[in-house]
Amino acid sequence: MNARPMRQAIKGLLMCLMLVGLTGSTVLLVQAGSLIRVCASGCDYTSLVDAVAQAQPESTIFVDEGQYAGPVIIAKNLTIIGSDRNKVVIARGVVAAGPFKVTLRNLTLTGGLNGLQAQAPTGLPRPLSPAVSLEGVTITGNALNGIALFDYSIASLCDVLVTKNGLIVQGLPLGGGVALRGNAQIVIGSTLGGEACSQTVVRENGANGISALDKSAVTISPNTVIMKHTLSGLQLGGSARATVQGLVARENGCYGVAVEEDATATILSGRFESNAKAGLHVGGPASTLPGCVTQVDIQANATATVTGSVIAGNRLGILVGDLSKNLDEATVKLTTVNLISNGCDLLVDPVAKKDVTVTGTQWKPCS
Amino acid sequence: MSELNLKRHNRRTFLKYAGTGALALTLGSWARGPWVRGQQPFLIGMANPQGTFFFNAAEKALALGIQEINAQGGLLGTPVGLITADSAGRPDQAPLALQDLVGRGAQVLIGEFFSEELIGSLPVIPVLRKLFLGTGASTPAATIRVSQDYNNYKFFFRAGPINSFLILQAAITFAIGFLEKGLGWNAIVLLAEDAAWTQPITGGFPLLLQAAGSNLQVVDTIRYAEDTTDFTSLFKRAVSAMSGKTGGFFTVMAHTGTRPSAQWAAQQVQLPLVGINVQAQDGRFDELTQGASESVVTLTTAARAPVTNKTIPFTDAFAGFTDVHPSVTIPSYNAFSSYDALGLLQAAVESAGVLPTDEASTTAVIGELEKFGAPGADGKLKLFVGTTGNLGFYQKGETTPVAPALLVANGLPPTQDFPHDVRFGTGLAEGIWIQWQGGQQEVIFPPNLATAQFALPPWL
Repeated sequence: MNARPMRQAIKGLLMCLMLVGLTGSTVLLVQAGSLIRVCASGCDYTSLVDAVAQAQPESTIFVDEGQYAGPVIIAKNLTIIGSDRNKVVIARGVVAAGPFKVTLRNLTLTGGLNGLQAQAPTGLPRPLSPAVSLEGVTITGNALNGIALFDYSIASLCDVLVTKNGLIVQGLPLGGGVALRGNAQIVIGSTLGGEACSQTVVRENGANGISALDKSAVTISPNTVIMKHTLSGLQLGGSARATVQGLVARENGCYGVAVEEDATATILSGRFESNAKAGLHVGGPASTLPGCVTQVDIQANATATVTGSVIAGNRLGILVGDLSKNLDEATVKLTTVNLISNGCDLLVDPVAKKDVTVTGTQWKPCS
Repeated sequence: MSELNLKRHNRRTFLKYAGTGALALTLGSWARGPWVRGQQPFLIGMANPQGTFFFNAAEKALALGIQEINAQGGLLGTPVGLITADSAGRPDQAPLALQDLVGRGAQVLIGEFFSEELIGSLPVIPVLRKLFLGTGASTPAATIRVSQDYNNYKFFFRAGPINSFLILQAAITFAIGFLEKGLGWNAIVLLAEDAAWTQPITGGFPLLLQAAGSNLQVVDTIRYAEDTTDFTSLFKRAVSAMSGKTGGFFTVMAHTGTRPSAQWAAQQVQLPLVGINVQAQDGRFDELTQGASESVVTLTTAARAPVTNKTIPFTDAFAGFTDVHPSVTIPSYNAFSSYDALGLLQAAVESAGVLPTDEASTTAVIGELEKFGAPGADGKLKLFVGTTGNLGFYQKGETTPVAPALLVANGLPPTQDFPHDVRFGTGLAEGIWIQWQGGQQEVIFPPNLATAQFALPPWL
């Protein structure tokens, strides 16, 4: 960027004033570093890639309407704010790499391999991973995943739409809404800076809505909907863990929520409705394919604690274990769960140890 | 396992994202810039479904091979290291595993067990642009991609097993050469899990038997759902179909072999259980089936038999190598192929004189790998002596032994080539048929490698 401090300051002030008009609270978001404007002409940059590459750490980049070619690689503390969520489009994805704080607000990510990818830099220690905040962002039309989080990266979502990401190849769904591996974390919040978030929706992506493996972690707050995926809404495998409150998971091809392998989930006040195989699945391998069949048979023990939830209109309410496998164990604790209008409510595979405790819940067994 | 249903995929769908390859490269360059790094080992990344015997066996084979390479001074003087990732048996997770490995510094990728994993990884091969040596999945989809779009898919080689079209050819050879002509069978019942990879096998088996002039009849084809818990009625149906015939089951099972095998033995079904039963490659198969392994037959790539002069030394070294997964003592087919892949890599790197760390050096190593299987000045194929046979790869545009009718039936041109697929044939990667006898895996076919005669189940 050209070193013209006075001009930058004036521009920044103008942008702040403009954005105060747009959001009323944006001034709070301006941090140390430069204020940069990107637009088709007459701004600091016409290329978002160039703007990001040249920006000082802690800068805030304001982006006017238009489509901006990526991939955009962010390796510094940075905020990117679009002027219109639907009209500021970043094509070919954003990659955040390194131990930085990145905020993306009010824009659309599309046409990438992954819409947002967060990771440690190549070959460097895994904890050197970013924390990315997504606020008012739409992620759609990416080849594999809407969001792919590797290593120890963290993504916080408020008012985010993740939809129609992934490919179908030879009948197999590739990718999904959000994928986490290797100690990554996702937090879907209900508030941001003391203000309520609008609903976060993950719908109609490839295989699963949110898929977490390999010691990754998922936290979901109320006002989150995951629906219409080929396999499951929320799928936990490996040694993933989740704390889920107020989630609506519906109309998925296999399970609303699947807690598999050695995963652990604490679920409060959820609604798991109209899923093709079961509202909740605990136990079994995570290697689910279309048709809800699984590939591997591994020694594992999944744990789910479910309280105050509604499981309704599914073919099966709750399936514990995998009917084709021999080695999967599971521990399930159900407290005041409403099982309504399911084909049948609870089916426990008798092979391998299953520890199921039901309290304050009426249910009809599966034959 | 494999999937033969090769519907044409729109290449633009993949290439649309190939620009992101620049992203990966840029990111790599960036990452080397501002950070101070010490001397690093040359990393090999293995992706397989974690928690399975097949992951553990492949990891052990690679660890053993790497230990041997490092004992010789490494690759071109650089020590070799191994990192792993979970491909999870899923098409959506396998590409993430590869991305994860490259992100962690892997320069060469090895593995992927299920065809669904490999199919799922196709979009990232042109993006990552790293040498990828397949060692488990048999789907031809990847090598067809090499044929159709060489510059983006040249990175993929299948060190083993033979592709699934060729597996069918191998099964037909065994059915005619051993079951019909050797044992005098005149009928079989195909018992197949209802998965994508088995469809063309159950569909193509009778056609290829007939085309080969065999009198072996397929009297019934039973395709069972993968979550079938009780096989009693299916076994009764098979016995009924075989009434008055001589023969047995021909299984086509990869994901689900333990449960039907256990029930078959428990019920003492009056038919031998022969065929492709991938779970029976697991050294723990007898334990997993509660003692039902006796007489079960499966196809695999190698066993403790003199397939080449490397096979028995490798299986013995594997059994005695306790640094990694000491309880795994018998190599799975993908363990043999992983070890062979490492050997091929070592030979190619030494010939090229460079480690494959960027696209130029990777291309140089690819060129050396392609020389395995190409005719030399004397007209003979240059081959690498592996544990699974004398190994070389098909060349681009080369005709393979796959029957043209089978290709056409799967929506492919009759001249479809499979460049970078390991060659199939006598003395090459041929595949062997093993039978569990007295808790051991014995080779029963081909005859030159046989360590035992075929045995019927104890109750027959």
